[in-house]
Amino acid sequence: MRTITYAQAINEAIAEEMARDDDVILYGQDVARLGGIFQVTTGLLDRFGPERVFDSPISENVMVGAGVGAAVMGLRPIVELQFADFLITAGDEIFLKAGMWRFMHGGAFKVPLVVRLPSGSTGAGPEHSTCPEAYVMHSPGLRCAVPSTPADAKSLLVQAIRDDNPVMYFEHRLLYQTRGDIEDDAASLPLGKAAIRRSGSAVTIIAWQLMLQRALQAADMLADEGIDVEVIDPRTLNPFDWDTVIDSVKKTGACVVVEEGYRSLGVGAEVAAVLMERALPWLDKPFRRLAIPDVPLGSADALVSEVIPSTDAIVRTVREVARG
Amino acid sequence: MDAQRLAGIYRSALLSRRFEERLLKLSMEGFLPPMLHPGAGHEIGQLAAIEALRPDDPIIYSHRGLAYMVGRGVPLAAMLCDISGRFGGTNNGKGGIMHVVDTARGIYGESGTLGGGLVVATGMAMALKKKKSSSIVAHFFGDGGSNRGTFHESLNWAAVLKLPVLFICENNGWAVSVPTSASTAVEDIADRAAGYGIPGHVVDGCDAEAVYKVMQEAADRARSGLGPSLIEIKMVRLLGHYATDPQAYREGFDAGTLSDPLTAFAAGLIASDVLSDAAIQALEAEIAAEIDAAVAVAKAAAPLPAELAYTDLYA
Amino acid sequence: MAHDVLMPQLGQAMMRGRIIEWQAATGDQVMAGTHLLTIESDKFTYEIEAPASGSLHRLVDVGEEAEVGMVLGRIGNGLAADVPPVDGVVAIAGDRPEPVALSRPHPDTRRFASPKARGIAAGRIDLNDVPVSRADNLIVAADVERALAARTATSVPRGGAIERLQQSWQQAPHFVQMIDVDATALVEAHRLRKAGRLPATLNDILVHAAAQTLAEFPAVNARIVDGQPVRNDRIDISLAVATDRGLRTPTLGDVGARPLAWVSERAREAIDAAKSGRPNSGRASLTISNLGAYGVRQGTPVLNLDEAVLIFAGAITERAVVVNGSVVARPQMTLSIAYDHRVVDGMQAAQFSAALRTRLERFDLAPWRDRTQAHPERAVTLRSDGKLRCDLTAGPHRWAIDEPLSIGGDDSAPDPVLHFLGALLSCMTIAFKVVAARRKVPIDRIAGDISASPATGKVRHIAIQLNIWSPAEKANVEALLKSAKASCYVHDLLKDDLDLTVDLTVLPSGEAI
Repeated sequence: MRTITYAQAINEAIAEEMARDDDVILYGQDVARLGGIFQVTTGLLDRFGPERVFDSPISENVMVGAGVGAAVMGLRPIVELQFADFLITAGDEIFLKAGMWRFMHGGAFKVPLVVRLPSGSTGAGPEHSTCPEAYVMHSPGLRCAVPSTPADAKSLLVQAIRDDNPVMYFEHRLLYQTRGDIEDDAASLPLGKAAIRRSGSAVTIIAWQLMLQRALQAADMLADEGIDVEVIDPRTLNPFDWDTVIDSVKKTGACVVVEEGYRSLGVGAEVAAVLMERALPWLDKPFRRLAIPDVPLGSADALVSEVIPSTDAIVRTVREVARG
Repeated sequence: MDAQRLAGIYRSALLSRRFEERLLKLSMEGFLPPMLHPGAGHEIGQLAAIEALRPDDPIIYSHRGLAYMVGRGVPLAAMLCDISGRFGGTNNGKGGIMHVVDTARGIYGESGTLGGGLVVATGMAMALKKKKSSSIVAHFFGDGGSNRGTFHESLNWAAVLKLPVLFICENNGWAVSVPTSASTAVEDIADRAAGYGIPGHVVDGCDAEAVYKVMQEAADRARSGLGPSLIEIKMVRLLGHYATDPQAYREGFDAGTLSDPLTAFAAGLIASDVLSDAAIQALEAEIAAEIDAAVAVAKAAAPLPAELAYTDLYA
Repeated sequence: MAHDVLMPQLGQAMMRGRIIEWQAATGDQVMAGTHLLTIESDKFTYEIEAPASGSLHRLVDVGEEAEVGMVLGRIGNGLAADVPPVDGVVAIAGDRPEPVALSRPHPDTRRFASPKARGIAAGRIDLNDVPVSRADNLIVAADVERALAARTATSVPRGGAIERLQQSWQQAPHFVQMIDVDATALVEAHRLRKAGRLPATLNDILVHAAAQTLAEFPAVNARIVDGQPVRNDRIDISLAVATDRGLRTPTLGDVGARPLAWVSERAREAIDAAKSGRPNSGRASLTISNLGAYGVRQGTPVLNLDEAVLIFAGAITERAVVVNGSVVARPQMTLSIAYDHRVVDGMQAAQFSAALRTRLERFDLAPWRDRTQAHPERAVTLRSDGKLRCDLTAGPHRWAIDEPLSIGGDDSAPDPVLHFLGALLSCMTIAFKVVAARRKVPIDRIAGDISASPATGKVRHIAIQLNIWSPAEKANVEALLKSAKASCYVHDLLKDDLDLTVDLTVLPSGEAI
């Protein structure tokens, strides 16, 4: 058992896979010489050389599009977009090319592409702050990983690289320096398997990454009031582990989704719809979601803190759900 | 090019033309959806370009006609089945005529979004280079697509990395209903090559020899690791953007100046004794029979089942 | 200055009410604070006091309905007695016409319930009978479960009794079967009760017998829903009770297979509650009306609404009956049992009636008659009001179990494990004595102790030390242990894997330890 940071876990995953498979390449803005603006990819250029680890121009469309093309021809590219928000900048390449190239051509191709998307608000303004995984969950053909712990950051990236489907891998910037245990020999959960981070009986909370941390804090506070919360970390949004969520809601009868994305048509909206479709007889309390209330994220700390769900907001909401 | 090659190009061009004419007829009859973007006028230029490539050089093509596929030998029946949604096609009902795929023949598909293929072709070339392959990627796109940001990003990066890719712009002066004079800042799109430090060539799409020569040069350059080239083939778009396009926008522009490159090419071949009228007639008959046979196969093929709507998404 | 008398909102679900009675006529002078009118909603009847003194003008008549918030009448000076009300707006002669609120907008009073709550409530309880606990007015599963558990004690008194009787009489095709029951056993039961030996009244015996009989005839335990008989999923029995406020029918919930002692306890509580005006009635499987005390022999009772059976027990009288060809005097009671013909046919009714009679005639008084022989019912009832102490009753016996202060009890009685240990040791001792007596091995006395270890937490090991004083051969005494263990039912209850050791010491008579 070792303890590493989330950033180190990502670095390890890439390094191990590049060592194991010569077809894996890594590129993006500032990833090679600099080792990444958050130092996540340090040492990889030295270790694997400029043919496999290289910097790209500020050209999100060709960065992702070339990733698709290279993947079609048998490479396994890992493309880093510097901010998850740029998912939209490279929209055609991600949603139409990566997501559908295989489908359009009747299955003739595989697109084993990984796009790393650093997400989360660091006060850098509306275009550099979002967690846009909902767009990916909404779009057919794309897998979506949202690791919350160093152990998952590593195992999900390894699985993403090995997966023959395009995977949008959202790494949360504010978690880069969090530390966690990692067991190298342990069998890791596959894509599409959620983790129950805390068992409980009164309310089910679904949360990931930064929101997961806040949800767990809230759960401790709620325990003092006698409200026993179950916290589920989905780990991937596509595939999504509906069975675990539904089993949990059958037990608790209540569900709250906490996300750092925009509220309308976000992950919470989908969860609510599925619960209505598949768990109606067991629903006992009103469904609630905590999310950014359909405004862009400003820059000043006060504005950002106002709209990103806080631990207190989670506590209040869960209390209302449980007690009315 | 020797006589055989030239004759071969003519045959493929004629086959493409007649096949497309039949497709238009079949869509009028209701057997096919009206999805074709006719390549009438582009055949010579496209086929001469392809002739200069090796058979295993992957092509990402454009929507302008079917000569790419015909030139590489993709069975007509397969294309008919693709368009009509029947068993025997190449893409399981997912792509229609827009995404015919035949990797064994180097046909690697198409981007539905114009200009979207430029980035994919760049990546394919990146892979070929890393694998130290001697193959190169040929990407055909139109004057319209050349105005997308993807053009800039792809040519720039391909040039920086010296990727083995040929960017072949078929400039017929029209992007749907918009003439290049209204959309494009330069007369010759090949002039843009200088902005990327790569060779840019302008060539007449009716001149098979010229196209072949320019393509060969660019292919050799790419194969030897010197990087990409931009080749602009001036083409004539004889018909509308799509099959039943009435082209009212075109009146006053090139009325009267349109001559069919195919007939001009045939005339040239007859003049240089590569072909004769009789030979051409015989060819017409052969081609008609080939097309008839393909149509019969397609009409007899079973329609694709609805369940295929869910397949081929995830690997 | 005129004063409005408005229809009040008496319950969250109340939308409208009906005037049952005015205490004064239009034009009468009424005094503030006196009873002015009586209104009824389908759950409550309510007496409304005059809000002011003055001349009354009635706007809504007896028997009419009005929505919550509507003006029912006005009290004030100078009202013209002959101005007809028009939609609640009154033109007052000599006054400026005042706008009158036709109906105050009332809050949304629909019942909101979660799907889970609805699922639990379906067929078992009306959501209108479930008290809401949440501020957002959502009924959740826990609310329904609580209401179900407390159902017998929390049903509101049924208002609109007349209407309900009317409905019942009109909807249910009634037929009545009269059946004569030999009341010998019942008379003796009464005697034993008077002697303090039998803690059950005739009513209790009737209820108990009716419940057991109903369990044998599930098709009779049904009600009509949407024109179809729907079986009740449990047996609830209402008792007709005469109180100062009139006839009440408290309901015992889930009587099922309960022992007589349970019925007796619950019935006592229910009757007390009914007499003190605490509401505790609800829809039942059947009602028992024992008005025989008034001397009525038989009758044609009216079923309670939504119930298929009503048992009217007539007076027990000595009658001349023929037994073995001779005329003798026997106490007899006639049961007049009314049935809803939509639910029960004549044959089913006859079978039910006959089965009930048989049960009553064969009521076994042995347990109370001769205590030294009979084996009491193996049932204990429990009450635990207050902290942790539990008060237990079995037949005439009363005892308690509590916990030490350290656990939160009052230490007023031994804890459950001690009781169990006492039971086990006693049972073994008793078994030993019984076996010894059967084999004619004399035993002077037995002393012993039993301990469980560890001292707290789950019991892992029990050690018994038994000392037996006997003049007999040691070996003969020791040989009894095996049979004693086998005869000891408490010992038999223990799981095989509970570690129990028995250390037997046989001592000669008179020897000290």
